[in-house]
Amino acid sequence: MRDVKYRAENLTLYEYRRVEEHLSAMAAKGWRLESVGARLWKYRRAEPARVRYAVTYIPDASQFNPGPTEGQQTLAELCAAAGWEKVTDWFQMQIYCSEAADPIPLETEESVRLEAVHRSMKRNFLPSNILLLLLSLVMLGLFVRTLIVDPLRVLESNGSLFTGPLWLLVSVLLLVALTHYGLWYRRSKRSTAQGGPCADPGDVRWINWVGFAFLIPWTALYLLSYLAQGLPGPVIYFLLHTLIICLIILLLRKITALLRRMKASFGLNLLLTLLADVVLAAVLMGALTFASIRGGWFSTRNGETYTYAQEPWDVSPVDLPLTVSDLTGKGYSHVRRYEYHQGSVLVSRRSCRETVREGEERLWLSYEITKPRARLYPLVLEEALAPSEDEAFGEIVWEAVPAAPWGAEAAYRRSLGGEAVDDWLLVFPDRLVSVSPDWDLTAEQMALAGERLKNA
Amino acid sequence: MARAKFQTLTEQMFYILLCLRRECCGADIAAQVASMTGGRVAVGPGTLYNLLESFSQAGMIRETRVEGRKRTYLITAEGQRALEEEYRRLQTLTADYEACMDERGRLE
Repeated sequence: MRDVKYRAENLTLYEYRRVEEHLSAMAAKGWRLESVGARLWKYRRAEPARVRYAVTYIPDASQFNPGPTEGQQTLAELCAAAGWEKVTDWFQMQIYCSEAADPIPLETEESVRLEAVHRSMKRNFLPSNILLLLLSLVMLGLFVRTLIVDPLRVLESNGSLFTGPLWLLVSVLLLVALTHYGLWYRRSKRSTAQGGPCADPGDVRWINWVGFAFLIPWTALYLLSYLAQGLPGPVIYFLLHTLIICLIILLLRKITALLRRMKASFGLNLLLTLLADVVLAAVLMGALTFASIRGGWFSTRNGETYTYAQEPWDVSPVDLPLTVSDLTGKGYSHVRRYEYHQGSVLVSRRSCRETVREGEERLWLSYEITKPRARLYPLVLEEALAPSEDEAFGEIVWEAVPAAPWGAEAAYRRSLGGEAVDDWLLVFPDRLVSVSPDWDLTAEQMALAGERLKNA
Repeated sequence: MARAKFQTLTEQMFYILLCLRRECCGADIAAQVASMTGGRVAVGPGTLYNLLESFSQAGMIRETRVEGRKRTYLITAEGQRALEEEYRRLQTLTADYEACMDERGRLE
């Protein structure tokens, strides 16, 4: 039978009444609160008993202080004299319990309680949430702006499609949470000014439940969209990324606690914890990014290579829908292939590139297959054919060329500063294909390339 | 309309300041208030702690001694002034009440 239980409590700092009631109910069930961690509350099994819990606030309490402050010690002394025993603290909230039948309440003046709650909220909940709200509003603004100015950039990125609505959700939930607190504070202020109690904040758990109710299926959908495309790499990256964030939070909590035990001052503890945060984030995220690039999590390329003529070549090249060999009909001793999937559930992009070498002959071929959802096809085509300007080459335009050699519905050839180059854009009913060989294709090669790529 | 801080004193504030006319520590204050009021007014430790902090910050009391965790306080001139103002306010209330009751008695 377990003697210790950890729970993720859905509580907010100013919900003192609910904290008190919850802890008393847990004690009645035989679980006494022992400590509060970074995310989890630790309970220890005990005989079920009628224990009264009460909380009060010390605005200058902090986990960065070297042990309990003088204020906390003084409060503990006063509470002990009144029959209350310190349990633990949760940020500025000081949690006490008493098994006496009718102890003097910790708080007997509601206006004083309200002021202590508000000062604590100003030290903790309010600045962090306001900062997060500003950040999420900025990110939401950028997302909306991109959606208006360059919608394809959002629609073809699973990441943007995933994070955009999340910023909206975060903004709305934070606004609701802050407004809820503001209204509670105003009602309580009015009530205590008339000698009444602080207002009942009601049940604010629904704010977090709404968040989770959206976040969990939304994240699952995001990850499934990659798995459906046969891309486990981004899923692994996302899961490890989340794990690293949890690990960093845990390590920071441990570092703060260690520095606290070493009696480091508030400032030093805060500084070193922030420093550790930056270093851990840089090292762990850097390592993850390095591993993902090195391991080819976002691309398909066989890891084992050898060097020939100062270039790396694949020991076992991946299969591609169209290769140089397919077009030339020749075999090559040295081959390097690369495949990269990007895009989103709405617009998928598959980029392939191959370089081959046989003696002095060295050729490469690259192409990209873009498959948009039917309604997005015109937008994707318009974006692909849009002229642009290049500092070195001048105007870049796509000029219509006969499509028949490719077996396509339409074909375009890129022109740099008025000069045609070997970049082709082929229009098929369900896809766009851009092809760039580094040699002039024959009519047969064009036909074969069109045939392969429209079915790839 | 909300009352300005310490412009008027609540019962608990009043009795805490009253106790601090003599040097006193926190635990003694709670006991003295209870005994002074026959248990009618109880000051909870959380409230007492926060009020002592607020009074100190407002210059109405000052810390006189620290012995281990035990801190003793004493009322200042500013605190005494607040206490006297509250006393006068209560006297005015009482006088107004008595005047009203006397008038009502005469009319009856």
